[in-house]
Amino acid sequence: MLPSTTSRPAPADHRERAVHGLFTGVLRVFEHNLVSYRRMWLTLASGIFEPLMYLLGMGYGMGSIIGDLSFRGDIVSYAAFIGPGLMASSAMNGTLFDTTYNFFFKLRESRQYDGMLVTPLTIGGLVGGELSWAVARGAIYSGFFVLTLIGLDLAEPLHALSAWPATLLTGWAFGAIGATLTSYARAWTDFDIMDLVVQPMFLASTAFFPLAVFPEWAQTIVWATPLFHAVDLTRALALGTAGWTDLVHVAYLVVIGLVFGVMARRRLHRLLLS
Amino acid sequence: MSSVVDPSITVADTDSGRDITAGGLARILEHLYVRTPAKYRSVLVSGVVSPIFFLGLLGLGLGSLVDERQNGAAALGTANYLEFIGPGLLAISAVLWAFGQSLWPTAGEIKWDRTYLLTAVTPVSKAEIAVAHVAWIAIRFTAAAVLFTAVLVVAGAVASWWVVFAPFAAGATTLVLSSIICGYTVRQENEDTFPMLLRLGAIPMFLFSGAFFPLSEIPSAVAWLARVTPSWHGVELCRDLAQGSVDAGSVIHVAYFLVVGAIGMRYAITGFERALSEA
Repeated sequence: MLPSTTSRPAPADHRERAVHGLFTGVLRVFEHNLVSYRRMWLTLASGIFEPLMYLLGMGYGMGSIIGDLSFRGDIVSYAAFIGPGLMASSAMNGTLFDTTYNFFFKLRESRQYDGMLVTPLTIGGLVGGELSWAVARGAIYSGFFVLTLIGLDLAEPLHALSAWPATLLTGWAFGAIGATLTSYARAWTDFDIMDLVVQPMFLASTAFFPLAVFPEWAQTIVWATPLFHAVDLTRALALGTAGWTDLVHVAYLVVIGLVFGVMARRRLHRLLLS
Repeated sequence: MSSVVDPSITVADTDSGRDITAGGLARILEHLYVRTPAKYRSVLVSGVVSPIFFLGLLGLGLGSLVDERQNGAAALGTANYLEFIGPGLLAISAVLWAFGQSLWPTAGEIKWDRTYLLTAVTPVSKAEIAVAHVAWIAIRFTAAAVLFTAVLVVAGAVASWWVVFAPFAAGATTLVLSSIICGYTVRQENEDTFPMLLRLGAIPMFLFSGAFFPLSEIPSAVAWLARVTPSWHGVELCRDLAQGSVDAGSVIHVAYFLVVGAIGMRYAITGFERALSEA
């Protein structure tokens, strides 16, 4: 009897191969996405356009009737205030889109993952590959946002650059949340519920106005949302007012990214391999 | 009964030279009403729940900043920011709904669902299908707009009884915009251009139609571009009605809707006629 080509490696070298497999797996899945997106550069490019419109419209249109705002004691223009907020939000939106709608399509409609898992690819490699692709795509968007902030003189070049890694962290955290939630979705209409959570979170995230505007009870709720931490961290870095207390934001996002990353892996293992 | 099964009536015959009749429109609308699954769910989200989020968070959050810095009457023409943004959100959600329903779902009706191909071989005309399709999009939104207008009244974003006409102004915004976009959609081979249309059409209209800030705050070239869109006319008309400042300007908005609506509907009808004949 011929050995099955899909059988797991022998227990002796299982661990070593699993680690090796994780990294190559991540790379392969990433590469797969890169190749399939090669012809969609226009879609990718127009994704940069959208937050830019928000920045111009709200930043300057709204800015002229709002004037300057105070952030941690510094007086900044309204456009400089919302710029980093929109940058963090677009990092969230970009990765959420990839790990929800696109992820769901591959999981349930095209069933692409079933095919991919017939190869030596592991679930860890699959989740890691998809997540890192989503983060990389978000990084392109936020990279352009950094250039925009510098170009419009809304942030010091070095400060704007220092905010870039914060959007990667944001992308990773929301990508992990998105992948986990998508594993529970049964139909496209389930994403309506997600939109109903994401939209108020976006509007309340302090991207558009400071936390102090809210009554105290509402401030607590806003503080608990991941987007608030992403916005506040990105803004503190971009405006050059970051301090040690901002490590709370970093810790929050790292924990979210790890917990949901592990959950996504576990959920997919159950959905695809059992 | 006999006309449906009469073998002497061909597909082309049923359509030739037929005018749009109320009876034909009513049949298709009845069909759409019966057939659409969860017909209120998505329109309640787009037309009521989502604008409530904007009203509650931006209207009050941004409003508190705007109101403490501006003399509302001078900068905005309304007593406060809530009165400014409220009717604007009504019109802007009409715009987003029109975009949402006139691209993929409309392409789907023609290409994937194919129900209209069957509808077209019954005694209703293709022109009637086009008008009913666009009207169905607008009717559902108008129903949601009634609810959101009630929310505006309760929230104190309304200053006049004229506001009872605001849901119809919002419905007209959807109707006019939908006719144009549906006319475009049914002429497309594939859906490749749709995301671009959302980004270059829906998002700018959403941001630059004077719903969030007056057009006087942006460069005049952009502002004049905005004044051509159904979106700006919808925002202004809804705000006129909510404020009770109905004047010659409001009449111009209505005239715009009548003229552009007629052109848009013509464009939709010819598009549907072509799409339903080719397929």
